[in-house]
Amino acid sequence: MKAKLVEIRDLTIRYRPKDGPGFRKRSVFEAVRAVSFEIFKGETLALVGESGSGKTSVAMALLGFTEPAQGSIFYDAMDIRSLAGSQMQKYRRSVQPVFQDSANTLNPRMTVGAMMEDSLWPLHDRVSRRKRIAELFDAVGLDDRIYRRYSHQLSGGQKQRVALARALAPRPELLVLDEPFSAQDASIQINLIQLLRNIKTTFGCSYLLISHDLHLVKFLADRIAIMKSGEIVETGNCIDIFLRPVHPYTQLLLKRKATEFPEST
Amino acid sequence: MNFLQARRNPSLRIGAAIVALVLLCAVFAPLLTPRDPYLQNLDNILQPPNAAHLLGTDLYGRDVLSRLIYGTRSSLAVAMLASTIAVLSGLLIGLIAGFSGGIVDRILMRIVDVLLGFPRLFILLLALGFGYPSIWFIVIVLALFSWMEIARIVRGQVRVVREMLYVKAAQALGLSNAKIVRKYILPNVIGPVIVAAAMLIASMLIVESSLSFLGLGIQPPEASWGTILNQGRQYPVAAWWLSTFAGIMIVVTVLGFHLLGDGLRNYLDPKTRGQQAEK
Repeated sequence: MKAKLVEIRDLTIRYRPKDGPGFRKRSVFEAVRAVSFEIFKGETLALVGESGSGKTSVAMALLGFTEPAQGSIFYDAMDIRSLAGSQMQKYRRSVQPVFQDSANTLNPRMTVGAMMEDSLWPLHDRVSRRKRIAELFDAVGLDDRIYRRYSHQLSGGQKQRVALARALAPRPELLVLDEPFSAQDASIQINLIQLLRNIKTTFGCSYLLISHDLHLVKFLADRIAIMKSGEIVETGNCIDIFLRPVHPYTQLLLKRKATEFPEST
Repeated sequence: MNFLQARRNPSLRIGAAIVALVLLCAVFAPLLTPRDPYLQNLDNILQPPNAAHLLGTDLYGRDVLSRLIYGTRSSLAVAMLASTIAVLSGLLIGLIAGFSGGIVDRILMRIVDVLLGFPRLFILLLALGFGYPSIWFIVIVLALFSWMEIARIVRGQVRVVREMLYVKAAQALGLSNAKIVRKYILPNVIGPVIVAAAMLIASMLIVESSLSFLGLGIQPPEASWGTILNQGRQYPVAAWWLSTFAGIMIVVTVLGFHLLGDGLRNYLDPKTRGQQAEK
């Protein structure tokens, strides 16, 4: 049996409006309610659900950007809330995000090369950094010529590949892929799926794949967790979810996808 | 700066030319002045523009052109020094407030709110009334009551940029907060600050001229555009050249800084720069 990389137990995330009249009682929105799942080393777990179901909130908590109201996140059996200083830095570099909005994910004031150099900051030798950048560009299918370009000079697909190369730079054990295909057209989506498969083979990392699109998820996922209104309603391996869905919401999602993508079922 | 890109930006070109010209006047004033700006000639008072005195003479027979050129030094020095101190203070406080958030942000912004509540010119007049109006005193007083707008702009921008995904990605890469602020946040908030700084210099020039005009700024016999305007106030028609040329200098310089700020904003934005290069 594979070892657990991440274990999330009873994760609850609540949002409180930041600004508002000081003395008025402010309403609290519960985005994620008692969510539990684990990710094993080398596997791809897909978190699937409609917009607003709490998928990205879970990812943000896992990345350490959102403070959970309740519950725990264990990484390699360590509670991430107990991490500080260099341990936290090490954890952060082990879990890398690739965000949905490729236009917003690259610093508009920095060249691709400068961003890549930053991602390799523990390497003090410039020559080693350049060599590693060339390897990463090669792995994600990017041309060396984009090194001096700014993000607005790149296509959507190139931006996504740069974001992927940057995320791979610290040799992460887990990639959090938050709707990586949603802003791309069909041909780029197919290329990205193939690329993510190759990367997984080459780098041996695990994926937490967040998507609303079951059709795309089945090409990458080993297991699928279905989220609805902040809760996980069904978890199972990819084949079981597609062939023997239990929860009515999963059946509804599949039915909807079957209509949209008749060739995929 | 890429010269070809700058050429396609008329605001930047004209603004930079005006500001450069004014700065050159200030730096090379002793070489450019036809006469000693402090030399009085009571036989030659209030002469209209003529071949010997291109912009006429003042109440004490001093050459107005020479005094305007020397006035550039003091007016610009006060405006630029006060603006630099105000911008750096505002930038630092805005960055701390915006990036820290929480209680630090709330305390700093309440201080800004309180200071913004004071009428600036009134406070300046009060402070200058208590102390001797040396150049450094004016600079410090002006800077002390001018950093708040910059701090507010920076804080607002930082709060927006802090939530950008590229900042989250940088945090995930384990970069230090100092590096994130320096490379990911500061360059993305600096555009509006540069524009605000250029506008602030322009506004400082006007405030300094107003103070000198009221007799509370740079003191005679030191030359400044405000003191020349003050002299012209007594003879607005008979000695029209005094107010007119000092006024023109103020208006053109203020316009120059406004255009420069606007042009720099376009130039510093890589998206706009890309569009300009494509034209």
